[in-house]
Amino acid sequence: MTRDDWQHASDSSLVVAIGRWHQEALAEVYRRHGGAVMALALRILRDRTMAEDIVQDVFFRLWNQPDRFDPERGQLRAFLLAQTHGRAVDMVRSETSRRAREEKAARQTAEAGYDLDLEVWDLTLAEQVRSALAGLNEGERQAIELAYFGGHTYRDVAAILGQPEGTVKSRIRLGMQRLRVSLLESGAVSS
Amino acid sequence: MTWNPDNTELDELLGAYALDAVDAHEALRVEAYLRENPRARAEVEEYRAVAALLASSGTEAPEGVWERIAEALDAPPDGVSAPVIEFRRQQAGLGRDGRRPRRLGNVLGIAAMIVAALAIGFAVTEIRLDDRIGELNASQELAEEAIAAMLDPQARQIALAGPDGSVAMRLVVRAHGGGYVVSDDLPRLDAQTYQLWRIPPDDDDGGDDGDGGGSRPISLDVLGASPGISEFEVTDPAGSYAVTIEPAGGSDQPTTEPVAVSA
Repeated sequence: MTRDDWQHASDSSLVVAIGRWHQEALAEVYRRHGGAVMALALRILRDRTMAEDIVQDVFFRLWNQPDRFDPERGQLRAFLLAQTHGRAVDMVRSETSRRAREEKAARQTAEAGYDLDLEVWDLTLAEQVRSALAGLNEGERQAIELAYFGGHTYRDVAAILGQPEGTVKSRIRLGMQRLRVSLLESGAVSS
Repeated sequence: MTWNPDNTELDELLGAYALDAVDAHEALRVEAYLRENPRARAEVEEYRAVAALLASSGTEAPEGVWERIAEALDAPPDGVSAPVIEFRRQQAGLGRDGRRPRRLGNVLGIAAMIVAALAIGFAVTEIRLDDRIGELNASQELAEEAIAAMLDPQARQIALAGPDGSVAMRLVVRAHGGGYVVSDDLPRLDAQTYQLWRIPPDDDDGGDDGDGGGSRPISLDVLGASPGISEFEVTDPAGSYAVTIEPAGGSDQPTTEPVAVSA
């Protein structure tokens, strides 16, 4: 297949080809989704070196275990980002990286103006997501952002916000439901 | 664990679980719950799709990282053969043309393998992908022709079995000439090729598909190191069939014992 063929192949077809050790297919998956994977890893870890390690690991795992992606269960990008999130969170929750991350976060806060949202989000999609987030109440939005981007467990989130664990747990779930409804209405996700 | 509609405690954890925001022991409990509860599983997948949007960006993939990845990918891991990829397709899914796919009933399992390989919406099957899968994905027309041939009651179906009796390859030969090879389970070769032969019956003059003459094997197709689906020409299908391993590029006559033969 030519490079043009790979570029027109579906994500599922690319994963099939990866199953047969076609590096060009993995390269195309990387071209399509590597930016999103990097952005999420960077947002959680706030450290480019660690984020790049995660990117490398996520794509290397796809290379070795393409069968872990089941197209019936969702899109390839969602799969890769779920892998990225899980690994980044594991890294965040390790004590060493937690310290490094907190130091880095402090520096970035001090420097100010570091707005990763504006830097990395696709503007159209970002607008839809911002709109959906704005539709949440403050408690739901905080809980989701701390859990997802902060890499905290809901128990940690409860401690940070000074709220009961059950409340935070419910807010995360309800908030995700409301986000989905909002994103469905805007066409950002399909039912 | 059986599904309990009142299992509100675990249901309440689904949002946090989808965001990797539960403790390890809770994650295990949720995962056991998900295995038994398709509704909860679907709910988690919905949340993960939403989370992916939260994380989405339009930025380009970072430069430099790909070189690190590619460097580590130079070769498949030692001792690992072609991975088996299980593609579960929606039983009620639509075909590529938007129509509900035809039901093949009890047609050879191999037909289902082809269809699954080409992802045109058939039911659950397991496929062993060959080295040419990229080309196969681009050759839906060929696969559909092979399926049509299999469904043709006038076509001759031929199974080629290995020394252990298991079917290694299937052929379908149309009544009016032309056939298709569908490989099932041949190990990948290194710097060699599989080659398909027809051995005419003793009283055959070789027909017009080869160089003729007694029962000298006639080469029908050089199949490559890891055969998939291919088409071959044969106007006189009489006789038996065999597959041998030959040097890359194929041979004029078999140089090794067959690895699979027809009955």
